[in-house]
Amino acid sequence: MANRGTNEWISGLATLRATQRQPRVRRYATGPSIDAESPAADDEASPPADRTGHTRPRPMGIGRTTMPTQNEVVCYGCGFQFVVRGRTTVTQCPKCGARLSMKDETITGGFHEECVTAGKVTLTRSAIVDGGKITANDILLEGIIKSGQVRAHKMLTLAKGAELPEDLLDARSLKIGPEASFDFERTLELHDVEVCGELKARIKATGTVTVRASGHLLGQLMAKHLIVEEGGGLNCALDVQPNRTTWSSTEDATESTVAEPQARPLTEPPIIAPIAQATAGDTP
Amino acid sequence: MEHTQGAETVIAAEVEITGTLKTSGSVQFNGTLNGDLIAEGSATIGKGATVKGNLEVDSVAISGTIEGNVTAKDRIQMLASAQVQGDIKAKRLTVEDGVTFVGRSEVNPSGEPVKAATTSSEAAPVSGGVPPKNSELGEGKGSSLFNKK
Ligand SMILES: [Zn+2]
Repeated sequence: MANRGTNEWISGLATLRATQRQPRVRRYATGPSIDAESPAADDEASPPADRTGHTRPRPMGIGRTTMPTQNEVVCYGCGFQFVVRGRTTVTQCPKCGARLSMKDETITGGFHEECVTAGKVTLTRSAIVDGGKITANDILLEGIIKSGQVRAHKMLTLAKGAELPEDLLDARSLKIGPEASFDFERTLELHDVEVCGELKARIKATGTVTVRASGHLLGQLMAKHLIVEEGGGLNCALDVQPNRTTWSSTEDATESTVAEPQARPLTEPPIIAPIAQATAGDTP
Repeated sequence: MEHTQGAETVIAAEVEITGTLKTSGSVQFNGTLNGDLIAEGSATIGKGATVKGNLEVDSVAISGTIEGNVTAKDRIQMLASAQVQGDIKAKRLTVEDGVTFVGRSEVNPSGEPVKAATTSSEAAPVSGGVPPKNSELGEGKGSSLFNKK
């Protein structure tokens, strides 16, 4: 009886020590965060019991570290890309030293001023931009842009109802929102493209083109990576080659440098013959 | 031997066939085929398989290499290792990241007529965003991202 009481007392002391020391560990731990699935994390979640059913003290020095959120930021001064940890409204570019606003802005109604941020700008359905300059890392366009300068250093999202003259489209990556439908006549040179609505364009993408289940891509596509979810539509002339680095500016997806397919032609007429005609007029 | 409709025929990696391969069932093809493959059921083109010819199937999962056109009544699945040089036509399509695909695709799950058939100069303005035509915008004054040809 007395022995059991001593055991309980020792165990209780050990637990007390553990709880006392844990905050210190959390405060000073700077190493990589412990994955919830890692053995150490499991250990902490359900400490092992000894033969008497009492929990043994956990090994010291291991704590759960909550890492602040990471934000990839592109400097609107020099274009340098860096990572900012945590939420902040202002930061400094490590390359050019520019002080960058990180505020998220929302524009409604008429707008013809300047809005420059390394955060996100949302142009609501009522927004009408006529002149002015909008520069942001991410831009969500639900309204209308008539004129001005619009630059998304990361992602431009065109939502349903958005209007944008195609010569003003200036973004690294493009997303077409659900139920939105856009038809671009110019060649879009982008990094990533995500299609949740309908997009008809001639696209050269250095990254990944994703056609979601609700999306439909038409036209021509030259890309390194392509993902099509089941349900997505694809009516395109394609040249998708993960190992390829560049496409010449005059090259069409239909006149690829890879060897022509050796297959005999289908007895029925070619599948999308008009695409070639559509681009023939563009070719110098 | 009893004839079982829809049974899967497996063709091993070391098999090379010249000519048309036709089956009323499904086929798992891992070898080399110089000719067409016609299957009323589904076809699986294995990772090391090569088909130099056209495929006409109900549905197909492609992990290997195809130099030819692929027509599926239902579904085409291009897995990450797939290499397709040719045109594809199907009701449904899934493409995994990593595929090589040079050709034309006609996949229209909604079944609506395809607008891509119209030339860019004839294309009707689409609903939602209605970008003005180049003639309205003035050519060549766009951003540096675009190379108007
Ligand atoms: Zn900078």
